[in-house]
Amino acid sequence: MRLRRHRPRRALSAFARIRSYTVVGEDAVLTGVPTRRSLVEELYLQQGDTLWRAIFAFAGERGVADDAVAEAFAQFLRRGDAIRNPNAWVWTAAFRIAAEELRKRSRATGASPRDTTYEMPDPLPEVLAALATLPTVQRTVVVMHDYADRPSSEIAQTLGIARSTVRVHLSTARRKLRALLEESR
Amino acid sequence: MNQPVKQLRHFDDLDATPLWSTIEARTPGPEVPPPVNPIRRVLVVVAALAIFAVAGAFAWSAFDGRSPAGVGPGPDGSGLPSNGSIWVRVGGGDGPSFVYQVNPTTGVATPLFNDGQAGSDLPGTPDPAAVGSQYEWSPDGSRVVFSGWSEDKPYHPVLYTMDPNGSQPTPVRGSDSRSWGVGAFSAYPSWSPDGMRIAYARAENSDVIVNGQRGYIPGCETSPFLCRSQIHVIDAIGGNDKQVTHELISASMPDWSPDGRSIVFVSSISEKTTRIGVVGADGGSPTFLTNGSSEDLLPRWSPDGLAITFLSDRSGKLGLYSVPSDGGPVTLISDVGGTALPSYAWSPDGTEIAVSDGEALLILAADGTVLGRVDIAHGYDVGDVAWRPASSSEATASQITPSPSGVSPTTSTPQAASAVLSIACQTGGAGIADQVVEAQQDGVHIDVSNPSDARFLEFHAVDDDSGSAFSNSADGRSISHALSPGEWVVGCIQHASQSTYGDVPTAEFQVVDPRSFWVEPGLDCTSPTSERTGDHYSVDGAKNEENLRATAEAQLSGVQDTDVFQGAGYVGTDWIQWQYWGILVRDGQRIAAVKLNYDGAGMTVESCVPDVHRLGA
Repeated sequence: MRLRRHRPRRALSAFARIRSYTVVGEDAVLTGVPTRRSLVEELYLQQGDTLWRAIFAFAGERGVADDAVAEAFAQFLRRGDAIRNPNAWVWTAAFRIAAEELRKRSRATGASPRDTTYEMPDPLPEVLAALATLPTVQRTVVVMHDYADRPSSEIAQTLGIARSTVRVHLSTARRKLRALLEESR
Repeated sequence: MNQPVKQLRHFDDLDATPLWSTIEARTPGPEVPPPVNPIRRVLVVVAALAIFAVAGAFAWSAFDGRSPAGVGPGPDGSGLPSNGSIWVRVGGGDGPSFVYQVNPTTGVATPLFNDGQAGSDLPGTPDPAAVGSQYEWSPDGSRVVFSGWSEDKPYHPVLYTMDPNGSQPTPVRGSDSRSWGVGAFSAYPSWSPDGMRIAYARAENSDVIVNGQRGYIPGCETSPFLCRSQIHVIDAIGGNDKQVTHELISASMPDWSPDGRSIVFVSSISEKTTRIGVVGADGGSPTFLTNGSSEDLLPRWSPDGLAITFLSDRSGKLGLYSVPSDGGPVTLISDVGGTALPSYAWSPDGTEIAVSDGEALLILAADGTVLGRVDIAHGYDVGDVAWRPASSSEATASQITPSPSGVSPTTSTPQAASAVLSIACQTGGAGIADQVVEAQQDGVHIDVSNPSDARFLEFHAVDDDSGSAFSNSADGRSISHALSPGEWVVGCIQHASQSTYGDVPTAEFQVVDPRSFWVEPGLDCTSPTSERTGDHYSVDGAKNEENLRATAEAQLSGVQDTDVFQGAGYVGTDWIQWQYWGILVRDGQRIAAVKLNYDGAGMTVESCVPDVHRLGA
C-alpha cells in the first residue's frame, strides 16, 4: 500500500489539506511490472554482492555502498527498457553515485567518510587505508579492474576517459598500492 | 610488476548488505492513472476556451460596491490602478490551473497563463512551470517568487522567481529540495522589503508516517505539524542560506516585516494548534503573539507594520484575525471564510485585503467591510492570492550602492527595467562569453565576437556546490530574461555532468546583484600563465578551496596570501576534467571572478575577470 500523490495545487489549500491523498492498494501498484522486476532481481542476485564489495572498497564506508548499490538498481528498475546494457549501466551508475556522495560529504564535512567502526578481517583494514590514499580516479580504476574484473571499456565509460588512459591510471595505482601495502608490513 | 593487486581479493571475505528490499522500497510502482472521462476532458477544454474567449468581460455582478472612477493607465502603463493588481490562481486538482490578473478597482480579470492542461492552443502559456503556489511579489513589482515544481520532479517544491508575465521561472539556487530527503520542500516565500532576500519555510527531511506507511502527504507544507520545517532566509539571487528559527516542532509561513527587521511565522504546537511568533530577520529568540490554543495560520504584516493578520479557527469558524505587532488582543476582521480560506493578501497601501474563500475572490476594506466579490472560479477552486504592487520606475544610478570599501561598481549606467536579453549558447563543453553565439538586447544584436562588446560576466559563484538549480531554457540552449532594475550581469554557462547518470549539457545563465561586484585596482589577471599548479580535488573540503586559491595565487599576479577563493562552483565535463569558478575575496571584499581548469594533470587558470561589465554599459 502506498500513497498516491495528487497534483499539488489542490492540496496547497490551508485547512483543506489532509483529505487530499489517496491510498492505492498493493495489487494495483504491482500490476504490470513482474517481468521487469524479476529481470532486475536476477541481475542483482548475480552482481549485487560483488558490486557492493567493490563500492565498499572504493568508498570505505558501508553506508555509501548500501546507498549507491540500492540507488543504482532502483534507477534501473525505474528506467525500464531505456537501458540497453543493464550490467554495465548498473556498475557505472553505482560508482558515479558513490563518487558523488563522497564529494558531497567531503565538501560538507571536510573529512573523509571512512568507516572505522566496522570490523573487517585482516588485511582489509590495511588495504582499505591504502586505497584511501589514492586519488579518486586511480582508486576507481584499480578496484573495478583488479577486484571486480570489469572490462577496461566499461571503466573508461564510467570515468569518461579513453581506454589508454585507464591503463595509465591502473599502472600508477598498482604501483602506489603495492608500495603502501609493503610499508604497512 | 603490472599484475593485479592480489590483496584486493580479500574483499570477497566481506558480507555484503542485503539490499533487494531496499531497492524495491525505492522503486514506486507504476502510477495508477485517475479515471479519465473523455467527455469531461472535452468539456474542460471547451470551458477553458470559453473563459479565455470572454476574458475581460466576466460577470462581476456583486462588484457594485466599487466605483469605476479613477480607472486609467497606472504607472506601469498596464491600465491598472495605482494600487497595483491582484494575481489569483484558479483551478488545480485533477483539472487545469490558470493565473488571472484582477483589477481591484473594476473587478475585471485578465487571464495571464495556464499550466497547459487546458489545451496548448490557449493563449498565455509561457511555461507550465509558472503555475505554482504561494505567489509573492517583490516590493518593486518586478518579480514574483513562488513555490512550485516541474512534473518530472514531483514531491519536492522548489522556490522559483519569474518575470511578471509568467515567463522564465527560475529556481532560486540553494532552495532546491529535490536532493534533501523524504518529503523535503521549500515553500511560503516572502521578500524582504529591499527585495534582496527571501524568507521561506525549508524542510530538508520531512519524513512522515500516514496509516503506518512512510511517505508523502501532498501539500503537507500547509501543515507545519505534519511537515516539519524551519524558517530560512536566502539571497533572492540564490545562495547564502541561513536558518533563523529553531522551533521545537516546526516553523512555517514566514512574512517579512515592512521595516525589514523581523519575520512573523507560525510555530506548531500540535496537529491542531499553532501560535504566531516573531523572530529577528537574523535569528534570535522569538516572541509569540498568540497563545497556541487554536490553529493560527498565514500571518501577514499590515503594510504599516502596526498589526499582523492571520487566519484562524479559534471561534470554531474560519476567519481573518488581527493582532498588534507588538502584542495585544486578537480581534476578528472578517468571518467571510467558507469551508476553506486558502489565501489572502494586503494591498500595498494597506487600505484593502484580497481574500480567496475557495469559491471567489473577495475585496475587503482594512476593517473587514466587503467591497466586492469576483466570481472568477467558474466551477474551479480559487486558490492563492498575491497583490502585485504597481511597477516602480526605472532604476537610477544613485540606487546602486557603492561597495563597503568605497570602490564604486565598475559601471554606473542603469539598466532599463524593460530590457530583455536573449542569448544562445553553444552546446557541449564549458565556457561562458566565448560560448555565446548570439545575443540580443531588446531585439538589438550584440556582437559577441567583439571583445569590447562582449558584455557578459563569465560566471558568478555562490556558496553552493553545483549549478543544478540554474534555470534552463526549453531547448537547453536559448535563454531570454527580462532584466529588472538592479539586475545586471548575465552569463552563459554550459553545464554538464551534474547528473549522476549521465551528461546532459544545458545552457544556463544567472543574473546577479550589481552590488556584488567591483574591481580591486592593482589585481592583474589579464595574463594568466599556462603553468599547471596544485590539484583540483581533495577529500578535505577546506583544502579543496585552498588548492584553488593556491593555483590562483601561483598563476595570477596580485593575488595575496590572505586572499580567499570562495564558493567554488564546479562543472565536470567528464569525470576527469573539471571547471571550477569562484570569487577571490580579500578582507571580505570580492575582487575578481576566476575560472580554473583541471585537465587530469593539474590546474590552470583559464580566465580571470576583474572588470565586470554590466550589460548595456
